[in-house]
Amino acid sequence: METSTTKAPLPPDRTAWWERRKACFPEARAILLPLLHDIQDHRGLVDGEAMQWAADFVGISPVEVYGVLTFYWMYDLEPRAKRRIAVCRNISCDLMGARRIVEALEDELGLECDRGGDGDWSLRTVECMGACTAAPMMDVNGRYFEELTPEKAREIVRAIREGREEVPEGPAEFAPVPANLARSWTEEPRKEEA
Amino acid sequence: MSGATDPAYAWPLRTPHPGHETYLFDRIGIEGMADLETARAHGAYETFERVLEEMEPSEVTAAVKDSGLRGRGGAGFPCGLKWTFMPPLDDPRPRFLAVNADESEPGTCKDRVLIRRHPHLLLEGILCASYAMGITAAHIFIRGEYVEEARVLQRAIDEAYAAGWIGADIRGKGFGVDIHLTRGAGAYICGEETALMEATEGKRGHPRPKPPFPAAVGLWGKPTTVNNVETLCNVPAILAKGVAWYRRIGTQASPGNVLAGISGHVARPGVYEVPLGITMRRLIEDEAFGGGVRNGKGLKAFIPGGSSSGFLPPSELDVPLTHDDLKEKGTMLGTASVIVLDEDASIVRATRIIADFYHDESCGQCSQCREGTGWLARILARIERGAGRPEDLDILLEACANMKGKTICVLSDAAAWPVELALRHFRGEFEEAIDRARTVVGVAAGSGEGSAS
Amino acid sequence: MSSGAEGETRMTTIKVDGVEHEAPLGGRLLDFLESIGKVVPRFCYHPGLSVAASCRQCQVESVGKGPRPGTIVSCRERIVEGMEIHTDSEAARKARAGVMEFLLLNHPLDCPICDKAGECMLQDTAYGTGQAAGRTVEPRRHLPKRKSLGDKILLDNERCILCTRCVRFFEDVCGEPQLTVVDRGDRSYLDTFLGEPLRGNYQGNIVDICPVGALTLKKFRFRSRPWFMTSTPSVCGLCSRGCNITIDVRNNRILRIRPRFHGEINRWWMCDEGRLDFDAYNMQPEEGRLAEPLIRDGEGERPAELSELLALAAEFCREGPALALLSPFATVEEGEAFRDCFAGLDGARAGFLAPGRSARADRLLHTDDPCPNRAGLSRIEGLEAVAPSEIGDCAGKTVFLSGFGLDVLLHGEARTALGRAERLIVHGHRRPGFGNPALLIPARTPAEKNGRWVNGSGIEQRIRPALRAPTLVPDDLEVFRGLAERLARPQEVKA
Repeated sequence: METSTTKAPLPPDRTAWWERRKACFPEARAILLPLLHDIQDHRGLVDGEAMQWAADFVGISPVEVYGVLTFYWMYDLEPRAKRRIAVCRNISCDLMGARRIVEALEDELGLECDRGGDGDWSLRTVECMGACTAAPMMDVNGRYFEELTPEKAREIVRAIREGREEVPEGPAEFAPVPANLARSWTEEPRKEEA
Repeated sequence: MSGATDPAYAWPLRTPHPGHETYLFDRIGIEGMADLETARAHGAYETFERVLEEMEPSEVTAAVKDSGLRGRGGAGFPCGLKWTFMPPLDDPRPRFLAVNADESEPGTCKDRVLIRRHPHLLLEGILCASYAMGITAAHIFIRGEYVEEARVLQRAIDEAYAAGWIGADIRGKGFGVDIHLTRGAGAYICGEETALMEATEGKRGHPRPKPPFPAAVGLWGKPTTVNNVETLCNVPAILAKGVAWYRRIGTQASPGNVLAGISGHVARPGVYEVPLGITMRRLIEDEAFGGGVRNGKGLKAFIPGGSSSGFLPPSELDVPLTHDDLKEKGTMLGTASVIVLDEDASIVRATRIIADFYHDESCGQCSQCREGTGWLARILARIERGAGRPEDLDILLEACANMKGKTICVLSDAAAWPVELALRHFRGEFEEAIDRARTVVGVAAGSGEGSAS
Repeated sequence: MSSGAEGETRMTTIKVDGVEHEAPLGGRLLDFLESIGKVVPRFCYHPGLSVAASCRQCQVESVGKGPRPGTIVSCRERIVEGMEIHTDSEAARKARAGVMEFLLLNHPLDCPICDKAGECMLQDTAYGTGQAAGRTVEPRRHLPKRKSLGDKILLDNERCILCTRCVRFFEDVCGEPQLTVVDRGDRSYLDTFLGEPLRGNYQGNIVDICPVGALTLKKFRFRSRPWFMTSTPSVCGLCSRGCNITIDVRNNRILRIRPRFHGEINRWWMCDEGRLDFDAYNMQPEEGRLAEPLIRDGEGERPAELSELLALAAEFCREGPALALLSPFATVEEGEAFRDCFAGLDGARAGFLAPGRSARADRLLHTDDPCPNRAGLSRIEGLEAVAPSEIGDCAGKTVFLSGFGLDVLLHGEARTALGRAERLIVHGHRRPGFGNPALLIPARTPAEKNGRWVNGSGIEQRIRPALRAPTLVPDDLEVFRGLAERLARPQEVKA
């Protein structure tokens, strides 16, 4: 399966890391969700070529990758904005004024919510992100900002713009795959020697 | 502003209530508990080490079973009993523990605190459970949105591997287990145990029909136990302090502490570790917890256990927070995530928002859920918009009836319950919304009706 | 393959709608209910595919032992002791009507322009269990309606009820996923990888198993309402598998060929070649179909009575050393009659064409033998199997080539050799495309015949006439019998 003709969407060291990571699971496709995250973090999207590559890499059909990818909302088939704001619209956040947060952000960014973005910023509403006791909240590139007020939300945008506030950009750091894996999931009988 | 510090500590953590014993949150206030060194200094892995040395796997399972610990993921199934469903330890097949960190029920953010503040407690719980059931690898599935939590947890796993707490032949005692973390990518349904397994295997998060149950056919077709993060975090305390100690907390049928999240219109929203059996009134009104409805407003309704548990009126405030008491009220403990709505809140809007959520999150396999969740959401949106019809409420209830108990998983039921409860306790508000709509359009619609009568 | 056949099936007594029945323990409840004549509507369940249990249409009510009381999906349920099932109780009917209502919420209800109307499971079930009027006033979901999935199949996403039969067909039967459900919830829709065309020789099956009009065959699109066609059970002739088929005909034209279940041969499936390559059967005189007996007359041809041609043919055969070659599309009955024709003729060599193996075999159905009845003809004593290389030089000989399909199985050298025959008699459905036949006797196509074929694994099957042959095209057997008569009693014929 490594003889794919498609160009790898990841740097060689990262591809090698995933190669080792595959061996942690009974089936290689188990790495698919995190692998697609990594591709997206490197390329800003997961396009057809990347899906093809990922399919070859884990030994399944591209159409299966396509089905998986579109099931989850966090993957993008189209290029995404550099800074992506997701405001929770679910019950706790709505009760605490999420609508006003969205209005403030629309005004601050000059964008209409849920209508894509301008390449630099995008603004959308999402379902519960799990910050209900600190509602309302927003997520920027994977970092949560909680207990928002409209003014606080505006200030966060300004701070990010001016580099006073950092949000994750690009891929995450990976530690090496541990050397002392038990790797006992294979079909060999266990505990017989013990 | 808050971002100046480590974002992990921006979490609005309320101090534990001093009136009772805590064992989940007792150490989360300590700075650096996510680091192995600090965690070790505060006792991490000591219970597991003692278990490895002194206890047989069957004794661990027996202790958890005797403790009466019930799952904290929503269904409240007895944890120890679930463990006994696994095949005997001499069964040569590999077997897995699937750890449900896909906390996604609206209103719920308790596992997130545990993972972020005390990941080694979770890992220790996983190790104890793995030892008890002879698990060969534990697979934690964490929701994709928890980027920071996944980073913290992965770092904890890496540190624990490096220190020999996870992996082959742990502490030279002949027991080995792997712990792997898989990050999801945004789908509520992956919190359902079989969908969680599908997602862990790298597939669409479609729940599998049951039976077979995971203990027979689970991850990669092998025997698997699925446990929630909070459930597993209970295990080290049970093993360290004993069954008798544990059973003194909570109630007979629902022992132990629970992490109760309080959100919405309360003075002190937060996640609190409280003994099961505490009344909703105390949880919402006590100064140590919710601190009452904020801004001195009156209470209109509360959701007792996450969005699917639906709405209860203030008259039910004295219900104790236990599995059975809430079931009696036609709702459930769920994730013990209380959402408070003050007198100004609109039940119609709140119901529509919850219906929208299930509409967004239905996996789309079963006809009733795929189509029904959308229908509920669209009817409710129309009522909220002021275009409701009197017959809509009966249609809603009939659609709910057709959605319940007839699908592969309970998402369909979970979508129906809040609508049913809203209509049971707050039907008047819906009628009013519809009447308002009819008054507005009455000129046009009225003539036909008038001539008919 | 199908369930239950291993060893002895233990039986148990279960109660269905108040009546006790002996049922196979562990058998599939839906299959059993069907076997005792209960109508259980279903969309996602197909006996040839893995069980998705997702449409939830096949609900019945369980009130006895085994599954939890209440409505259960019968496609997933196994028969256990003490089971008691109601298929037509209030609860069961309400549950099924509920599913129908949900499925129709977003269905376009474009039956008047839908190819599937009349044989649509959704339509049939709606009439059977649904409510007369819809209660929804919400706008319906809009999705692509005419999406081409390659050269054979068209997809209408609005009609699709997401039963995933087609997805599972490619996964379970072909072992190569080509379709998937994209997105989730009621936004989900069926798609290939980024919309690329479908591949392979088995695509047509997804049209058969599609319970609605979402997947339609381009070749059949808007050709006919199903109820205007007559259906004839027969057998496919494009390889030696012998897939069982149904031939759908309107106005004496084949409009569609569908697979027919045979547990040992093709189960529910057939290849696209067998399904779509029926143009030869529909060939009309103006398109080159040989529709009347013709005798070469100098440079031209003249129509003649069949008896005149048969007399001449008999004469030619007696004149020179004769080679009589029968098509491997011929039926067993024709093979025997053909052999009998030439049995008493000195120096005659009678055989059937036995071409070499093709490279067309696949894992599923298609075999490497292009002859539908090689096995049946091989069994006939006195009928030689003649490989193309064994034809030899035909100069100075009389050659009698007989039967539909012979021309397509003959290539290169064999054609040249046969074309050099002194007297070439062709009994075919069209002109052979080589040589200069002295006599042209029209032959029937397999779609116009009744007879037996034996497939590659030795199973004897009957082909049946789905089309009427042109008036002046005699039955092949009539030709052989007439010829046999004239060869056996030459004096009488001459007199």
